[in-house]
Parts: sequence; C-alpha cells; structure tokens
Amino acid sequence: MDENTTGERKQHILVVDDSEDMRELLGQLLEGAGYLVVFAEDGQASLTQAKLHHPDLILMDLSLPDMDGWEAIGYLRKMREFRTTPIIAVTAHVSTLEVERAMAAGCTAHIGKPFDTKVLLQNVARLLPAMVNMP
Amino acid sequence: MAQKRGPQYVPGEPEKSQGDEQQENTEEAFRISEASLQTALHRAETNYAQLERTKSQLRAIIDASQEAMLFLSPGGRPLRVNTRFTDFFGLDATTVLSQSPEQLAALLKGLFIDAALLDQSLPRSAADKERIFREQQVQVEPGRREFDFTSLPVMNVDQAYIGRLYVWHDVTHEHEVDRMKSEFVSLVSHELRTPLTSIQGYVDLILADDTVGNLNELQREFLGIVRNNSRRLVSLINDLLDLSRMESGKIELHRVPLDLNLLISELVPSFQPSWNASRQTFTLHLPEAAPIVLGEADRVTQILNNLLSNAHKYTPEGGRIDLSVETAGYVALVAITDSGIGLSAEDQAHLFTRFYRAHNPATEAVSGTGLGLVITRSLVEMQGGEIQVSSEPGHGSTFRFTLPLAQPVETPRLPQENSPGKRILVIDDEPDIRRLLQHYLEGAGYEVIMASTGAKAFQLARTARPDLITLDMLLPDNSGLTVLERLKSDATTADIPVIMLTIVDDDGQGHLLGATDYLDKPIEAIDLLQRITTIFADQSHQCLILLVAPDDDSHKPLVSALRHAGHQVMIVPNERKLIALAKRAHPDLIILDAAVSPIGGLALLHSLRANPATQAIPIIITGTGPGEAGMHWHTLTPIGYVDIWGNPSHVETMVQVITQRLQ
Repeated sequence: MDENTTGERKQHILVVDDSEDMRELLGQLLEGAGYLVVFAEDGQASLTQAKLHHPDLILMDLSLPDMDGWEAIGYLRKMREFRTTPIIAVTAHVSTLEVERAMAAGCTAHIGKPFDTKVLLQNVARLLPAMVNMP
Repeated sequence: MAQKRGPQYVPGEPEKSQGDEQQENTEEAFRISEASLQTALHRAETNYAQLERTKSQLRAIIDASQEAMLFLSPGGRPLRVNTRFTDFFGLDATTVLSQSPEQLAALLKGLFIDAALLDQSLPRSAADKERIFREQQVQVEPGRREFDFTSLPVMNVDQAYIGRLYVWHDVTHEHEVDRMKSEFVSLVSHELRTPLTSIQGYVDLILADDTVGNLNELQREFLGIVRNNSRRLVSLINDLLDLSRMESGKIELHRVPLDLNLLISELVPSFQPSWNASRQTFTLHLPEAAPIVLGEADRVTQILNNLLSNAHKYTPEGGRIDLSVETAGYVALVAITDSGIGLSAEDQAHLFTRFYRAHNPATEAVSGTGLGLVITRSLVEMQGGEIQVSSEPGHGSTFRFTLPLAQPVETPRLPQENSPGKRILVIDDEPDIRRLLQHYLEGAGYEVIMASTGAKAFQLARTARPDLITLDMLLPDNSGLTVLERLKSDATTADIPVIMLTIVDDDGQGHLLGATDYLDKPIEAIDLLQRITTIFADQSHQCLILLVAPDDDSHKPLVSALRHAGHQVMIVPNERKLIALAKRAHPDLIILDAAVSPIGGLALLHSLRANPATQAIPIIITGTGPGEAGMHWHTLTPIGYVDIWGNPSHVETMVQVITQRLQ
C-alpha cells in the first residue's frame, strides 16, 4: 500500500459528497493535512470505494443521489470490516432531529455544513485510529 | 284593537222612525270597522312579511357564515344549526335537532379525534352562563378538518341567558400553510448551507496560506471580510431556522438540573477576547451556593450568549458589563447590565418583535438581524422563565431573565441532623455508579452497603436490614423490577423504602410494585439526597398525595415543595395507574393535572367516586383555568369534594392550602 520511505502508511479517508466543489474542498483540506483521500459521489459508489480502499475514516454527506447517506451507512455498518470505522456525517441537515437520525444510522460524529475547517480537521484527527507504525 | 266596538254593537228595540237611522248607523259602524280591520290585517300582513324577510335574511346570513354553528338551549337541547354545520359534519338539521343532548354529544364526538370539550360536557357547558371555552379540534369523519372551536353563551337584549353557541372555525388551510412555511424554511436553510459551505471552506483554505500560495495584506483583509460575512449569513440562517421551529412548536427541550454558575463560568472566557479588544470591563457576581436550575444546557447557554453578545455590541469602548445571578423563591434571576447606548421606551416595547432593531444611529453601526431577542425570549419562556428589559437611553440597559430552580432554595435539610446512622443499600451492577452513590451518601452521613446483583441484594436486604434501598432498574441477573417484587413480597423487607434509579421508562410499573420514588439517571447528588431525606422525614408523619401529572419537569417545584412540607408524594404517570394505586395505597389527597387527560378527567373522577375505597378522597384539579376543560364547580359539586386550581405557579400558596386541609 501507499507506504512512504519511513514505512508509515498514510491514513486513508473516504470523502462521499455529490458536489464536486465539496469533494475538491475536502480533498485539498485533508491532503494538505497529510491524509490520502479517495472519493465517491453517491451512496452506491461509497460502498465500492470503501471495499476497494479500506479507508480509516469516512466523511459522508447524507443527501446523495440514488442511495442516500443514511442507507449507505446502514450497509457499511452491516459489513464486518466497517463495523467500527469512524464515519463523520458532514451535512447541511443540522437540526437536533437530523443529528439524532444520523447518529441512529450509525455515524460516529456529526458536523453541520457550513463547517469550520479547523473543527473538521480536529474531529478527523480525534477519531482516526492511532497511526499504524510498520516495523 | 280599534274595531272592538263593531262586533259588540247590539241593536236595542228600535222605534221605526229611529230604526232606519240606527240601521244606517250600524251599517256605518260596520263599514268603519271593516275598513279598519282591513287596514290592521294589511298592517299585520306587512309586519309578518317583513318579519319573515328579516328571519330568512338572518338565517341566510348565518348559513352564509364560513363557520359551522350549533345553538343549544340552556338545557343543552339543540335548537338550531346552520348549513355549514350540515356541510362539515354530514349531519342534516332534522337529525341534529331531534337528538337529546347526550345523543348529540356522542354523535359529534364520534367525528373528532381530539375534542375534549365535546366529551359529555354538552348539557353541562350549556348550563354555563358566563364562560367562553376554546380548543383546537381535529375532525376525522367524514373528512379531515382542523378547527378552532369556541363555545360561548348567548344573551338576549335584556341580558337574559338564552342558550349557548358552538362555533367551529375551519383552520385546516391556515395550519397547512404553517406547515408549508416551516418546511420551506427548513428546505431553504438546507439549500443555502450547501453553497455557503463552499464559500466559507475555500476562503478558509486560501487564508490558511501555504497550500495555495502567499497573500498580500490587502488580499488577506478582503478575504477576511468575505469570511466574516459568510459567517453572519450562516448565523442568520440558524436564527431563522430556530425561530421557525419554535413557532411551529417543533423544538422539544430536554430539561435537566443544571448548575448555573458552572454554565456561566464556562461561557465567560469565550467573550474575554472581545471585551479586551473593546477595553470593556466585565464583572461577574455569582452566588456562593450554585443555583441548580431546570433547563437544557445548550439553550440556556444560547440565552446567555445572545444577551452577552448584545451587551458587548451595544456598549462603547471602555464601557462596563455586569452579570449577576441570585435566587429568589423558586427561580434563579440572571441580570446582564451594560453601560451602553440604552433604549428608548418605544424601542423597549418593540424589542422582542421579529426583525425589530432599535432606531438609533449607534445601532446602525452594529450588525444584527433583529431575531436574537425574539429567539432569546422564546427560549426563556420555553424553559418556564420570563425576560424583561429596563433601560434609559444613553445610560445602558439591563436584561433580566428567570429560570425555575430544580428545587426551592431552603432545601435540602441536612440528613445528618435528623437521620443519624441510617443505613442505605445501594444495588447497581456498574462499579462506577456504586462508587458515585457511595460517595454521595457517605458524604451526607449515611452508612452505605452495596450489592452488584439481584440475588446478593436480596440476601443483604434480609440480613443487614437497611433503612432504605436504591435499586438500579437494569441488573444483569434479575431485572430491577423482579428484585423489587421480591423485596416487597417478603415480610422482612417489604417495609424498606426503595428508590428506583432508572434510564428505562417502565410505565410506572415500579410504583405499582411499591417503589417509593424514582430517579432518572444521570443522578444528581442534591436530588438523590433530598428524596432520601424526604422519605425518612415522611416516615414520622405519613400523608400520602398522589399526583397525576405528565412525565416532565413541570411539577418538580410543586413536588419538592410538598415533600419539603413533609408530605409523601407519588407521581402517577397516567390515570389508569391512578385508579389501581388509589385503591391500594389509600392516599390522603389526589392532585390531577388536567394536562394528563383533559378528556378523561371527568370520567376518571366519576370512577373514583364510584368505588367505595376511593370515593372519599379529596381531589384537586390543576393545570387548567376554571372551566377550561369543560370542568367547573357546577359540574363537579355532585361528585364530591373537588377543587379546581388554575396554573399551579403559586406553589407556596398551593402547598400551604394543601397542608392545612390535610391536617
């Protein structure tokens, strides 16, 4: 896998959002912070990408074409390998009810849009499993 | 009658010479009387026709009304309905008018899902000469409609009571529009957020340097302006969303006991940079004993945040801002005073109106949406408080708001003083919780023994004979309720009071099984200790009050005040439980909150009165203005000793009266 010379594996983050602007923004932010980012633009693609790249963390928009985020999270949580993967809902659905709905679907955290880029990065860092150091 | 003379005329015995004259006179008289009869008849006909015209005009007007109307005699008999009534309810006038009051009530009731006022109260409310009742009703048969329903007495010109008018005003459309409005706001909010995320995100990205290259000072400044304004837009959207949710009653508060001092101390540092920048002096006066208020932490913070940020914005450089908290009776009072620009009397009157911003050159310079204070006031009121402003232009303003205390300030009494050496058994499978409870209880001077399983607990309860037990509802080997049942069915342990600690709603089962009290997790020390103190105090003079109240915090002040006055209070979640419990526990008094079941209220009273075991228990009905739910003295007197109290906000008076009556 994408190992650098020190043997450290870059942590993978899957960004799921149907807006190209958002994917680019999140990509820039996360790559700038040293993560390796992969993308999906709808719920169905998020499942394919997840299986392909085994991300360490997923940022998931909830309103998505075809299969929406809630449904995709439901599928992911049913798969053994993604049962504990941190999933952050990054969504413009911000009411208490919506936050609860996201958490009930299996999200680890909820960040409302528009987000403070600092807060987003802090949350990503907080939720990522500790770096795996290859000997 | 002017013609009276005519028919009464009886001819005498006339002389011939006079006869003709007399006959002429008679004929003349008949002619006159016939003419006047004709005139009178004509007049009567005209009057009658006019009356008929007026009557049919009135009927047409009543029929043309958009509202359905039903007019009842003082005895409750239906006298008249209009066409709209027939249209709305699919009942023709003949059918309606042939019903007895009871039949009609039943007939109407079948059409609604939500119509407390129609329940059994038709004849009763018809006898009421004074009150006006209103409620929202939802009709389901033959079609769905929502109504503002009004029932009002009708007086004739001499002010005599002639009956009662029921009016249904169709608000289906208005409600639909309301719903559409809030859906629209929430959709717009969602749609606006998406592009704003890009704007804010990319600006942040550019400002966060290195990745996109260096910026010169001017570029940095301009992008800063873009960023600030996009933040303002976001907060405006948030305000609008909040407001719309509040207006549609969609915000549900989860009120819990909160340490107000702590909340404020956590919030204040976030303002420090702004105060420093404006060289404003901030002073904080917090009471030594932290007031524990009932509220939702986020919402209380939002209130404080709004008021503090207003104080900052409208106070010139070098000004003063004070925040003080004190407790008075059953409320905590927070006052935020500034030495700012102040408000005119006119501004003060409109301050809590949407989009209103004070007319003042100084306010022009300050950004704001005119929604903050509207939201603040709603938030305060939703949490059972009040907000006021006092101000003088040029001399600053003071905003004061109250929040209900979780318990009155005088309590709790210290357990050490009146319950030395009492032993408490703590049953909980979580070691952390056991330790926490132990800490609380030992700190208050009790001896604590602990058990982690139901079986062990039962054994300990028999051998160590504790004076009180706290029992976790969820235990690994036995459910808490099973343990409770075992404790209560064993003679050696049956008398030990049990407090259930719970995060599960057991629908009041625990009370039926004999739990003395309930506490929701997370447990507040002060709450726990107070309940224990009360239970021990109660054992000396038991006066049992059953309170039928909704499962929220609205009765906490009353309950704690009653307990403080030495009464034992059990809260019953619904009326079904009440009847069972009333038969078993022989309470000294029942307090019934009409909010639990305005419909069943009367039926409930009747069934209590019908049972020999419960018929003599005095009952107080609260939470309703007299008569509002169709219940008032006239209807209740036959049922026996019943009092109706309005909104029980004057807890102190209430407790005083209750205590007197129970003695």
